[in-house]
Amino acid sequence: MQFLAGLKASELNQIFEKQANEIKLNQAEKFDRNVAYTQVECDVELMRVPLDAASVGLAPSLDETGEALCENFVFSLLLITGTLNQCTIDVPADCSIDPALVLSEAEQQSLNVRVLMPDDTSCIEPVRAYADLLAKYSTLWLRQGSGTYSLSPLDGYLEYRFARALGHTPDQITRNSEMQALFTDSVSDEAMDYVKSRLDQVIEHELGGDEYFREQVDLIASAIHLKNTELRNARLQMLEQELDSRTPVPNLIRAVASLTGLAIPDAAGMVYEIKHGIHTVLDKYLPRAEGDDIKAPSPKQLDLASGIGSAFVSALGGQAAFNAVWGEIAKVTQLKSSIDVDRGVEPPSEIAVKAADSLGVEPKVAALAIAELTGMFGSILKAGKAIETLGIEKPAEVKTTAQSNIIAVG
Amino acid sequence: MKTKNVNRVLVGLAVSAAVLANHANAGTRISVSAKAEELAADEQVKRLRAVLELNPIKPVVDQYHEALVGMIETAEPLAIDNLLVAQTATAKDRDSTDIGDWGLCHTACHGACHGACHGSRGWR
Repeated sequence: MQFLAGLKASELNQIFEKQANEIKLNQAEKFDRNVAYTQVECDVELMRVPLDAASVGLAPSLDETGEALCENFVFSLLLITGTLNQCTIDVPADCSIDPALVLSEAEQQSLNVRVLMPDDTSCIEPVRAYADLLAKYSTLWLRQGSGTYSLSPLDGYLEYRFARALGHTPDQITRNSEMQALFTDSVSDEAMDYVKSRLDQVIEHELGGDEYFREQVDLIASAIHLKNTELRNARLQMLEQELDSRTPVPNLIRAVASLTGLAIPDAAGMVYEIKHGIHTVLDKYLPRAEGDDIKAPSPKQLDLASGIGSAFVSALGGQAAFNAVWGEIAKVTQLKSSIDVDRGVEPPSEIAVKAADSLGVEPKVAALAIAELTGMFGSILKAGKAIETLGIEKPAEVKTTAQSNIIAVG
Repeated sequence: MKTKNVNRVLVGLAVSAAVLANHANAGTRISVSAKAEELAADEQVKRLRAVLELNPIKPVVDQYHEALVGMIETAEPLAIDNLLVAQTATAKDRDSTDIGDWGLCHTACHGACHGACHGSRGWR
Protein backbone atom coordinates (compact mmCIF):
# COMPACT_ATOMS: atom_id res chain seq x y z
CA MET A 1 0.00 0.00 0.00
CA GLN A 2 1.30 3.42 -0.99
CA PHE A 3 0.44 6.44 1.19
CA LEU A 4 0.01 9.90 -0.29
CA ALA A 5 -0.62 12.51 2.37
CA GLY A 6 -1.66 16.15 2.09
CA LEU A 7 -2.63 16.31 -1.59
CA LYS A 8 -5.32 18.78 -2.66
CA ALA A 9 -8.70 17.83 -4.13
CA SER A 10 -7.78 19.63 -7.34
CA GLU A 11 -4.70 17.39 -7.62
CA LEU A 12 -6.83 14.27 -7.14
CA ASN A 13 -9.11 15.51 -9.92
CA GLN A 14 -6.05 15.88 -12.17
CA ILE A 15 -4.79 12.40 -11.26
CA PHE A 16 -8.14 10.95 -12.30
CA GLU A 17 -8.09 12.89 -15.61
CA LYS A 18 -4.60 11.59 -16.33
CA GLN A 19 -5.61 8.00 -15.54
CA ALA A 20 -8.75 8.33 -17.68
CA ASN A 21 -6.63 9.55 -20.62
CA GLU A 22 -4.26 6.62 -20.19
CA ILE A 23 -7.21 4.26 -20.42
CA LYS A 24 -8.47 6.02 -23.54
CA LEU A 25 -5.08 5.48 -25.18
CA ASN A 26 -4.72 1.92 -23.96
CA GLN A 27 -8.00 0.23 -23.12
CA ALA A 28 -6.17 -2.73 -21.59
CA GLU A 29 -4.77 -0.44 -18.90
CA LYS A 30 -6.03 -1.25 -15.42
CA PHE A 31 -5.29 0.39 -12.10
CA ASP A 32 -4.99 -1.55 -8.89
CA ARG A 33 -6.55 0.13 -5.90
CA ASN A 34 -3.44 0.29 -3.76
CA VAL A 35 -3.01 3.95 -2.86
CA ALA A 36 -4.24 5.48 0.40
CA TYR A 37 -4.85 9.20 -0.05
CA THR A 38 -4.79 10.75 3.42
CA GLN A 39 -5.47 14.27 4.69
CA VAL A 40 -6.75 15.46 1.30
CA GLU A 41 -7.28 19.22 1.46
CA CYS A 42 -10.51 20.33 -0.23
CA ASP A 43 -9.41 23.47 -2.09
CA VAL A 44 -12.14 22.67 -4.64
CA GLU A 45 -14.97 20.15 -4.68
CA LEU A 46 -13.59 16.65 -5.23
CA MET A 47 -15.24 15.65 -8.50
CA ARG A 48 -13.36 12.50 -9.36
CA VAL A 49 -11.79 9.81 -7.18
CA PRO A 50 -8.51 8.44 -8.62
CA LEU A 51 -8.84 4.94 -10.04
CA ASP A 52 -6.00 3.63 -7.88
CA ALA A 53 -7.52 4.90 -4.62
CA ALA A 54 -7.96 2.19 -1.98
CA SER A 55 -9.06 4.79 0.54
CA VAL A 56 -9.49 8.55 0.74
CA GLY A 57 -9.38 10.63 3.89
CA LEU A 58 -10.50 14.24 3.68
CA ALA A 59 -9.14 16.90 6.01
CA PRO A 60 -11.88 19.18 7.42
CA SER A 61 -11.78 22.89 6.71
CA LEU A 62 -13.91 25.88 7.70
CA ASP A 63 -15.81 28.31 5.45
CA GLU A 64 -15.26 32.08 5.31
CA THR A 65 -17.32 32.70 8.47
CA GLY A 66 -15.06 30.35 10.42
CA GLU A 67 -18.10 28.83 12.15
CA ALA A 68 -19.21 26.12 9.74
CA LEU A 69 -17.48 23.47 7.71
CA CYS A 70 -16.50 24.47 4.20
CA GLU A 71 -18.92 23.42 1.44
CA ASN A 72 -16.09 21.97 -0.65
CA PHE A 73 -15.33 19.58 2.20
CA VAL A 74 -18.97 18.61 2.85
CA PHE A 75 -19.81 18.01 -0.83
CA SER A 76 -16.55 16.12 -1.37
CA LEU A 77 -17.52 13.83 1.51
CA LEU A 78 -20.84 13.13 -0.20
CA LEU A 79 -19.05 12.16 -3.40
CA ILE A 80 -16.52 9.80 -1.86
CA THR A 81 -19.06 8.06 0.36
CA GLY A 82 -20.96 7.11 -2.79
CA THR A 83 -17.80 6.05 -4.64
CA LEU A 84 -15.48 4.29 -2.22
CA ASN A 85 -16.06 1.90 0.64
CA GLN A 86 -13.15 3.22 2.62
CA CYS A 87 -13.42 6.92 3.22
CA THR A 88 -12.74 8.85 6.38
CA ILE A 89 -12.47 12.28 7.87
CA ASP A 90 -8.77 12.82 8.58
CA VAL A 91 -8.11 15.33 11.32
CA PRO A 92 -4.52 16.62 11.10
CA ALA A 93 -2.58 16.90 14.37
CA ASP A 94 -2.54 20.71 14.11
CA CYS A 95 -6.27 21.05 13.31
CA SER A 96 -7.91 23.89 15.24
CA ILE A 97 -11.52 23.27 14.16
CA ASP A 98 -14.01 22.63 16.97
CA PRO A 99 -14.06 18.82 17.43
CA ALA A 100 -17.85 18.94 18.03
CA LEU A 101 -18.34 20.33 14.52
CA VAL A 102 -16.25 17.59 12.92
CA LEU A 103 -17.86 14.77 14.92
CA SER A 104 -21.33 16.10 14.17
CA GLU A 105 -20.59 15.89 10.42
CA ALA A 106 -19.13 12.39 10.89
CA GLU A 107 -22.27 11.27 12.70
CA GLN A 108 -24.56 12.70 10.02
CA GLN A 109 -22.66 10.94 7.23
CA SER A 110 -21.71 7.84 9.26
CA LEU A 111 -18.05 8.35 8.43
CA ASN A 112 -15.18 7.22 10.59
CA VAL A 113 -12.81 9.85 11.96
CA ARG A 114 -9.05 9.50 12.22
CA VAL A 115 -7.07 11.91 14.37
CA LEU A 116 -3.69 11.66 12.68
CA MET A 117 -0.30 11.72 14.37
CA PRO A 118 2.02 14.70 13.86
CA ASP A 119 4.82 14.22 11.34
CA ASP A 120 7.47 14.66 13.99
CA THR A 121 7.03 12.62 17.15
CA SER A 122 10.62 12.94 18.34
CA CYS A 123 9.87 16.11 20.35
CA ILE A 124 7.51 16.20 23.32
CA GLU A 125 5.59 19.35 22.33
CA PRO A 126 3.87 18.12 19.17
CA VAL A 127 3.11 14.79 20.89
CA ARG A 128 1.62 16.56 23.90
CA ALA A 129 -0.50 18.81 21.66
CA TYR A 130 -1.62 15.76 19.70
CA ALA A 131 -2.54 13.86 22.88
CA ASP A 132 -4.62 16.83 24.06
CA LEU A 133 -6.43 17.04 20.71
CA LEU A 134 -7.08 13.28 20.71
CA ALA A 135 -8.33 13.52 24.31
CA LYS A 136 -10.90 16.16 23.27
CA TYR A 137 -12.15 14.06 20.38
CA SER A 138 -12.16 10.90 22.52
CA THR A 139 -14.16 12.54 25.32
CA LEU A 140 -16.82 13.73 22.89
CA TRP A 141 -16.93 10.38 21.11
CA LEU A 142 -17.30 8.40 24.35
CA ARG A 143 -20.14 10.68 25.46
CA GLN A 144 -22.21 10.19 22.30
CA GLY A 145 -24.49 7.18 22.34
CA SER A 146 -25.36 6.49 18.72
CA GLY A 147 -22.24 4.56 17.70
CA THR A 148 -22.69 5.12 13.98
CA TYR A 149 -19.02 5.88 13.40
CA SER A 150 -15.68 5.12 15.01
CA LEU A 151 -12.76 7.25 16.09
CA SER A 152 -9.19 6.14 15.43
CA PRO A 153 -6.84 5.47 17.15
CA LEU A 154 -9.19 5.33 20.16
CA ASP A 155 -11.12 2.35 18.70
CA GLY A 156 -7.97 0.27 18.29
CA TYR A 157 -6.92 1.04 21.84
CA LEU A 158 -10.36 0.18 23.23
CA GLU A 159 -10.25 -3.16 21.42
CA TYR A 160 -6.82 -3.73 22.97
CA ARG A 161 -8.25 -2.99 26.44
CA PHE A 162 -11.16 -5.37 25.85
CA ALA A 163 -8.73 -8.10 24.76
CA ARG A 164 -6.70 -7.52 27.94
CA ALA A 165 -9.87 -7.85 30.01
CA LEU A 166 -10.36 -11.22 28.28
CA GLY A 167 -6.93 -12.38 29.41
CA HIS A 168 -5.15 -11.79 26.11
CA THR A 169 -2.55 -9.04 25.57
CA PRO A 170 -2.06 -8.57 21.81
CA ASP A 171 1.52 -7.93 20.72
CA GLN A 172 0.26 -5.14 18.45
CA ILE A 173 -2.54 -2.65 19.03
CA THR A 174 -3.74 -3.06 15.44
CA ARG A 175 -3.13 -5.59 12.66
CA ASN A 176 -4.52 -3.32 9.96
CA SER A 177 -1.61 -2.28 7.73
CA GLU A 178 -3.08 1.16 7.02
CA MET A 179 -3.62 1.85 10.72
CA GLN A 180 -0.14 0.58 11.51
CA ALA A 181 1.37 2.94 8.93
CA LEU A 182 -0.61 5.90 10.22
CA PHE A 183 -0.50 5.36 13.97
CA THR A 184 2.18 2.97 15.15
CA ASP A 185 5.04 2.31 12.69
CA SER A 186 6.65 5.73 12.68
CA VAL A 187 5.99 6.58 16.32
CA SER A 188 8.57 6.16 19.08
CA ASP A 189 7.72 3.98 22.09
CA GLU A 190 7.89 6.99 24.42
CA ALA A 191 5.43 8.99 22.31
CA MET A 192 3.13 5.96 22.05
CA ASP A 193 3.20 5.40 25.81
CA TYR A 194 2.40 9.06 26.41
CA VAL A 195 -0.61 8.98 24.06
CA LYS A 196 -1.82 5.70 25.61
CA SER A 197 -1.58 7.08 29.14
CA ARG A 198 -3.57 10.16 28.05
CA LEU A 199 -6.20 7.90 26.50
CA ASP A 200 -6.27 5.84 29.69
CA GLN A 201 -7.09 9.01 31.64
CA VAL A 202 -9.99 9.84 29.32
CA ILE A 203 -11.31 6.27 29.36
CA GLU A 204 -11.01 6.09 33.14
CA HIS A 205 -12.97 9.35 33.45
CA GLU A 206 -15.67 8.54 30.91
CA LEU A 207 -16.09 4.77 31.27
CA GLY A 208 -14.03 3.44 34.13
CA GLY A 209 -10.95 1.30 34.64
CA ASP A 210 -10.30 -2.38 33.99
CA GLU A 211 -13.46 -3.31 35.89
CA TYR A 212 -15.55 -1.51 33.23
CA PHE A 213 -14.09 -3.66 30.44
CA ARG A 214 -14.53 -6.87 32.44
CA GLU A 215 -18.11 -5.90 33.27
CA GLN A 216 -18.88 -5.19 29.60
CA VAL A 217 -17.32 -8.48 28.51
CA ASP A 218 -19.49 -10.33 31.06
CA LEU A 219 -22.61 -8.52 29.84
CA ILE A 220 -21.84 -9.27 26.20
CA ALA A 221 -21.21 -12.93 27.08
CA SER A 222 -24.62 -12.94 28.76
CA ALA A 223 -26.18 -11.41 25.63
CA ILE A 224 -24.48 -14.04 23.42
CA HIS A 225 -25.70 -16.79 25.74
CA LEU A 226 -29.22 -15.35 25.59
CA LYS A 227 -29.07 -15.29 21.79
CA ASN A 228 -27.83 -18.89 21.76
CA THR A 229 -30.66 -19.97 24.06
CA GLU A 230 -33.21 -18.21 21.85
CA LEU A 231 -31.80 -19.95 18.77
CA ARG A 232 -31.94 -23.31 20.56
CA ASN A 233 -35.53 -22.77 21.64
CA ALA A 234 -36.53 -21.64 18.14
CA ARG A 235 -34.94 -24.77 16.72
CA LEU A 236 -36.68 -26.99 19.23
CA GLN A 237 -39.95 -25.36 18.21
CA MET A 238 -39.19 -25.92 14.53
CA LEU A 239 -38.37 -29.58 15.19
CA GLU A 240 -41.63 -29.94 17.07
CA GLN A 241 -43.49 -28.38 14.15
CA GLU A 242 -41.69 -30.61 11.64
CA LEU A 243 -42.00 -33.76 13.75
CA ASP A 244 -44.98 -35.08 11.77
CA SER A 245 -43.16 -34.79 8.45
CA ARG A 246 -39.81 -35.96 9.78
CA THR A 247 -40.71 -39.16 11.63
CA PRO A 248 -43.12 -42.06 11.13
CA VAL A 249 -44.20 -42.14 14.78
CA PRO A 250 -44.53 -38.48 15.87
CA ASN A 251 -47.20 -39.08 18.50
CA LEU A 252 -45.36 -42.00 20.05
CA ILE A 253 -42.40 -39.62 20.38
CA ARG A 254 -44.64 -36.96 21.99
CA ALA A 255 -45.92 -39.55 24.45
CA VAL A 256 -42.36 -40.67 25.28
CA ALA A 257 -41.30 -37.03 25.75
CA SER A 258 -44.21 -36.51 28.15
CA LEU A 259 -43.47 -39.73 30.04
CA THR A 260 -39.74 -39.14 30.41
CA GLY A 261 -39.51 -35.35 30.56
CA LEU A 262 -37.08 -35.42 27.60
CA ALA A 263 -37.09 -32.72 24.92
CA ILE A 264 -38.78 -33.76 21.67
CA PRO A 265 -35.51 -34.31 19.72
CA ASP A 266 -34.10 -36.41 22.56
CA ALA A 267 -37.31 -38.46 22.84
CA ALA A 268 -37.21 -38.96 19.06
CA GLY A 269 -33.61 -40.09 19.38
CA MET A 270 -34.53 -42.53 22.14
CA VAL A 271 -37.36 -44.12 20.14
CA TYR A 272 -35.16 -44.27 17.07
CA GLU A 273 -32.25 -45.85 18.91
CA ILE A 274 -34.49 -48.55 20.43
CA LYS A 275 -35.85 -49.36 16.98
CA HIS A 276 -32.42 -49.19 15.37
CA GLY A 277 -31.01 -51.41 18.12
CA ILE A 278 -33.56 -54.14 17.32
CA HIS A 279 -32.72 -53.96 13.61
CA THR A 280 -29.00 -54.07 14.34
CA VAL A 281 -29.40 -57.22 16.41
CA LEU A 282 -31.60 -58.82 13.74
CA ASP A 283 -29.11 -57.92 11.00
CA LYS A 284 -26.27 -59.36 13.09
CA TYR A 285 -27.87 -62.73 13.80
CA LEU A 286 -30.14 -63.08 10.77
CA PRO A 287 -28.14 -61.47 7.96
CA ARG A 288 -28.71 -61.81 4.26
CA ALA A 289 -26.92 -64.69 2.61
CA GLU A 290 -24.40 -64.16 -0.15
CA GLY A 291 -26.26 -63.27 -3.33
CA ASP A 292 -29.48 -62.16 -1.60
CA ASP A 293 -31.12 -59.08 -3.06
CA ILE A 294 -29.96 -56.15 -0.91
CA LYS A 295 -33.04 -54.18 -1.91
CA ALA A 296 -35.36 -56.83 -0.45
CA PRO A 297 -35.77 -57.61 3.26
CA SER A 298 -33.52 -60.34 4.65
CA PRO A 299 -35.17 -63.74 3.93
CA LYS A 300 -34.14 -65.05 7.38
CA GLN A 301 -35.83 -62.13 9.08
CA LEU A 302 -38.92 -62.64 6.92
CA ASP A 303 -38.93 -66.30 8.01
CA LEU A 304 -38.83 -65.16 11.65
CA ALA A 305 -41.74 -62.76 11.05
CA SER A 306 -43.62 -65.55 9.28
CA GLY A 307 -42.98 -67.88 12.24
CA ILE A 308 -44.29 -65.31 14.72
CA GLY A 309 -47.37 -64.74 12.56
CA SER A 310 -48.02 -68.50 12.24
CA ALA A 311 -47.72 -68.92 16.00
CA PHE A 312 -50.39 -66.28 16.61
CA VAL A 313 -52.65 -67.75 13.90
CA SER A 314 -52.32 -71.24 15.40
CA ALA A 315 -52.79 -70.00 18.95
CA LEU A 316 -56.07 -68.33 18.01
CA GLY A 317 -57.39 -71.36 16.15
CA GLY A 318 -56.89 -70.50 12.51
CA GLN A 319 -56.61 -67.61 10.07
CA ALA A 320 -60.28 -66.59 10.30
CA ALA A 321 -60.16 -66.32 14.08
CA PHE A 322 -56.87 -64.47 13.92
CA ASN A 323 -58.28 -62.00 11.38
CA ALA A 324 -61.24 -61.37 13.67
CA VAL A 325 -58.97 -60.69 16.66
CA TRP A 326 -56.65 -58.45 14.65
CA GLY A 327 -59.65 -56.60 13.23
CA GLU A 328 -60.86 -56.00 16.78
CA ILE A 329 -57.40 -54.77 17.87
CA ALA A 330 -57.22 -52.45 14.87
CA LYS A 331 -60.66 -51.11 15.72
CA VAL A 332 -60.02 -50.59 19.43
CA THR A 333 -56.68 -48.95 18.82
CA GLN A 334 -58.13 -46.88 15.95
CA LEU A 335 -55.29 -48.03 13.72
CA LYS A 336 -57.29 -47.98 10.50
CA SER A 337 -59.04 -44.73 11.32
CA SER A 338 -55.93 -42.89 12.53
CA ILE A 339 -56.10 -40.44 9.63
CA ASP A 340 -59.64 -39.49 10.64
CA VAL A 341 -58.54 -39.13 14.27
CA ASP A 342 -55.65 -36.95 13.17
CA ARG A 343 -57.99 -34.72 11.16
CA GLY A 344 -60.48 -34.50 14.00
CA VAL A 345 -63.22 -36.26 12.05
CA GLU A 346 -63.32 -39.14 14.54
CA PRO A 347 -62.91 -38.50 18.29
CA PRO A 348 -60.25 -40.39 20.29
CA SER A 349 -61.48 -43.68 21.71
CA GLU A 350 -62.34 -44.21 25.37
CA ILE A 351 -59.09 -46.11 26.04
CA ALA A 352 -57.14 -43.28 24.43
CA VAL A 353 -58.81 -40.71 26.70
CA LYS A 354 -57.94 -42.78 29.76
CA ALA A 355 -54.36 -43.33 28.54
CA ALA A 356 -54.02 -39.60 27.85
CA ASP A 357 -54.64 -38.83 31.52
CA SER A 358 -51.91 -41.20 32.57
CA LEU A 359 -49.45 -40.10 29.87
CA GLY A 360 -50.09 -36.40 30.37
CA VAL A 361 -50.80 -35.70 26.70
CA GLU A 362 -53.84 -34.67 24.63
CA PRO A 363 -56.34 -37.53 23.99
CA LYS A 364 -55.71 -37.20 20.27
CA VAL A 365 -51.96 -37.65 20.76
CA ALA A 366 -52.58 -40.68 22.97
CA ALA A 367 -54.95 -42.21 20.38
CA LEU A 368 -52.47 -41.71 17.56
CA ALA A 369 -49.54 -42.95 19.70
CA ILE A 370 -51.45 -46.17 20.44
CA ALA A 371 -52.25 -46.54 16.75
CA GLU A 372 -48.59 -45.97 15.82
CA LEU A 373 -47.42 -48.58 18.35
CA THR A 374 -50.00 -51.07 17.03
CA GLY A 375 -48.88 -50.25 13.50
CA MET A 376 -45.28 -51.13 14.40
CA PHE A 377 -46.42 -54.52 15.69
CA GLY A 378 -48.73 -54.94 12.70
CA SER A 379 -45.83 -54.37 10.29
CA ILE A 380 -44.15 -57.51 11.71
CA LEU A 381 -47.35 -59.50 11.14
CA LYS A 382 -47.62 -58.08 7.66
CA ALA A 383 -44.00 -58.97 6.86
CA GLY A 384 -44.78 -62.52 8.08
CA LYS A 385 -47.91 -62.56 5.85
CA ALA A 386 -50.23 -63.17 8.84
CA ILE A 387 -52.21 -60.14 7.67
CA GLU A 388 -52.47 -58.71 4.18
CA THR A 389 -52.56 -55.02 4.96
CA LEU A 390 -52.38 -52.69 7.94
CA GLY A 391 -55.08 -50.55 6.47
CA ILE A 392 -53.02 -47.36 6.58
CA GLU A 393 -50.88 -47.94 3.49
CA LYS A 394 -50.59 -45.22 0.93
CA PRO A 395 -53.26 -45.63 -1.77
CA ALA A 396 -52.03 -46.89 -5.13
CA GLU A 397 -51.09 -44.18 -7.55
CA VAL A 398 -53.89 -43.08 -9.85
CA LYS A 399 -52.92 -43.91 -13.41
CA THR A 400 -52.94 -40.87 -15.62
CA THR A 401 -54.21 -41.22 -19.15
CA ALA A 402 -52.56 -39.45 -22.04
CA GLN A 403 -54.11 -36.11 -22.81
CA SER A 404 -56.21 -35.92 -25.92
CA ASN A 405 -55.22 -33.40 -28.52
CA ILE A 406 -58.82 -32.95 -29.61
CA ILE A 407 -60.24 -29.64 -28.47
CA ALA A 408 -63.91 -29.80 -27.66
CA VAL A 409 -65.74 -26.92 -29.24
CA GLY A 410 -69.40 -25.98 -28.69
CA MET B 1 -21.45 8.33 38.56
CA LYS B 2 -19.41 7.59 35.47
CA THR B 3 -21.03 7.57 32.05
CA LYS B 4 -21.78 4.02 30.97
CA ASN B 5 -22.29 4.47 27.25
CA VAL B 6 -22.71 1.21 25.38
CA ASN B 7 -22.78 2.10 21.74
CA ARG B 8 -22.65 -0.14 18.74
CA VAL B 9 -18.96 0.46 18.06
CA LEU B 10 -18.01 -0.39 21.65
CA VAL B 11 -19.97 -3.64 21.49
CA GLY B 12 -18.37 -4.44 18.13
CA LEU B 13 -14.91 -3.83 19.57
CA ALA B 14 -15.63 -6.12 22.53
CA VAL B 15 -16.88 -8.89 20.23
CA SER B 16 -13.87 -8.45 17.97
CA ALA B 17 -11.55 -8.63 21.00
CA ALA B 18 -13.26 -11.84 22.13
CA VAL B 19 -12.70 -13.42 18.70
CA LEU B 20 -9.09 -12.23 18.79
CA ALA B 21 -8.56 -13.73 22.24
CA ASN B 22 -10.08 -17.01 21.06
CA HIS B 23 -7.79 -17.12 18.00
CA ALA B 24 -4.81 -16.45 20.22
CA ASN B 25 -5.84 -19.47 22.35
CA ALA B 26 -6.01 -17.30 25.42
CA GLY B 27 -8.18 -19.97 27.06
CA THR B 28 -10.57 -17.32 28.33
CA ARG B 29 -13.68 -18.60 30.07
CA ILE B 30 -16.58 -16.36 30.99
CA SER B 31 -18.96 -17.75 33.54
CA VAL B 32 -22.65 -16.98 33.02
CA SER B 33 -24.53 -18.16 36.08
CA ALA B 34 -27.90 -16.51 35.39
CA LYS B 35 -30.61 -18.54 33.68
CA ALA B 36 -31.88 -17.56 30.25
CA GLU B 37 -35.17 -16.28 31.72
CA GLU B 38 -33.28 -14.04 34.13
CA LEU B 39 -31.08 -12.72 31.33
CA ALA B 40 -34.14 -12.04 29.17
CA ALA B 41 -35.56 -9.93 31.99
CA ASP B 42 -32.35 -7.91 32.44
CA GLU B 43 -32.70 -4.59 30.59
CA GLN B 44 -28.95 -4.17 30.00
CA VAL B 45 -28.55 -7.68 28.59
CA LYS B 46 -31.68 -7.23 26.47
CA ARG B 47 -30.27 -4.03 25.01
CA LEU B 48 -26.95 -5.68 24.23
CA ARG B 49 -28.76 -8.69 22.77
CA ALA B 50 -30.51 -6.32 20.35
CA VAL B 51 -27.21 -4.66 19.42
CA LEU B 52 -25.79 -8.08 18.48
CA GLU B 53 -28.31 -8.14 15.62
CA LEU B 54 -27.02 -4.88 14.13
CA ASN B 55 -24.52 -4.56 11.32
CA PRO B 56 -21.57 -4.91 11.26
CA ILE B 57 -21.64 -6.89 14.52
CA LYS B 58 -24.15 -9.56 13.47
CA PRO B 59 -22.00 -11.13 10.71
CA VAL B 60 -19.05 -11.40 13.11
CA VAL B 61 -21.19 -12.92 15.89
CA ASP B 62 -22.74 -15.38 13.42
CA GLN B 63 -19.44 -16.31 11.77
CA TYR B 64 -17.66 -16.90 15.09
CA HIS B 65 -20.73 -18.19 16.92
CA GLU B 66 -19.12 -21.45 18.03
CA ALA B 67 -15.92 -19.77 19.21
CA LEU B 68 -17.86 -17.17 21.19
CA VAL B 69 -20.26 -19.69 22.71
CA GLY B 70 -17.28 -21.92 23.51
CA MET B 71 -15.88 -19.20 25.78
CA ILE B 72 -19.03 -19.21 27.91
CA GLU B 73 -19.33 -21.47 30.92
CA THR B 74 -22.92 -22.20 31.87
CA ALA B 75 -24.93 -24.98 33.44
CA GLU B 76 -27.65 -24.63 30.80
CA PRO B 77 -27.74 -26.84 27.66
CA LEU B 78 -26.09 -25.12 24.70
CA ALA B 79 -27.10 -26.94 21.55
CA ILE B 80 -29.13 -29.77 20.12
CA ASP B 81 -27.25 -32.89 19.10
CA ASN B 82 -27.31 -32.58 15.31
CA LEU B 83 -26.40 -36.21 14.77
CA LEU B 84 -29.30 -37.38 16.88
CA VAL B 85 -31.69 -35.18 14.94
CA ALA B 86 -30.30 -36.50 11.66
CA GLN B 87 -30.58 -40.11 12.83
CA THR B 88 -34.13 -39.51 13.95
CA ALA B 89 -35.06 -38.20 10.57
CA THR B 90 -33.62 -41.23 8.81
CA ALA B 91 -35.44 -43.69 11.07
CA LYS B 92 -38.25 -44.43 8.63
CA ASP B 93 -35.82 -45.12 5.81
CA ARG B 94 -33.75 -47.60 7.81
CA ASP B 95 -36.43 -50.13 8.59
CA SER B 96 -34.84 -53.44 7.52
CA THR B 97 -38.24 -55.07 7.03
CA ASP B 98 -39.04 -52.60 4.27
CA ILE B 99 -35.66 -51.46 3.13
CA GLY B 100 -35.15 -49.17 0.20
CA ASP B 101 -32.06 -49.24 -1.95
CA TRP B 102 -28.75 -47.73 -0.96
CA GLY B 103 -29.54 -44.54 -2.86
CA LEU B 104 -32.65 -43.88 -0.81
CA CYS B 105 -30.77 -44.36 2.45
CA HIS B 106 -27.95 -42.15 1.31
CA THR B 107 -30.33 -39.47 0.10
CA ALA B 108 -32.26 -39.62 3.36
CA CYS B 109 -29.05 -39.34 5.41
CA HIS B 110 -27.83 -36.43 3.36
CA GLY B 111 -31.23 -34.77 3.41
CA ALA B 112 -31.50 -35.18 7.16
CA CYS B 113 -28.04 -33.81 7.87
CA HIS B 114 -28.63 -30.96 5.46
CA GLY B 115 -32.07 -30.35 6.90
CA ALA B 116 -30.72 -30.36 10.44
CA CYS B 117 -28.61 -27.33 9.60
CA HIS B 118 -30.79 -25.60 7.01
CA GLY B 119 -34.45 -25.26 7.81
CA SER B 120 -37.10 -23.80 5.57
CA ARG B 121 -36.11 -20.42 6.93
CA GLY B 122 -32.41 -20.77 6.18
CA TRP B 123 -29.53 -21.49 8.50
CA ARG B 124 -30.58 -22.58 11.97
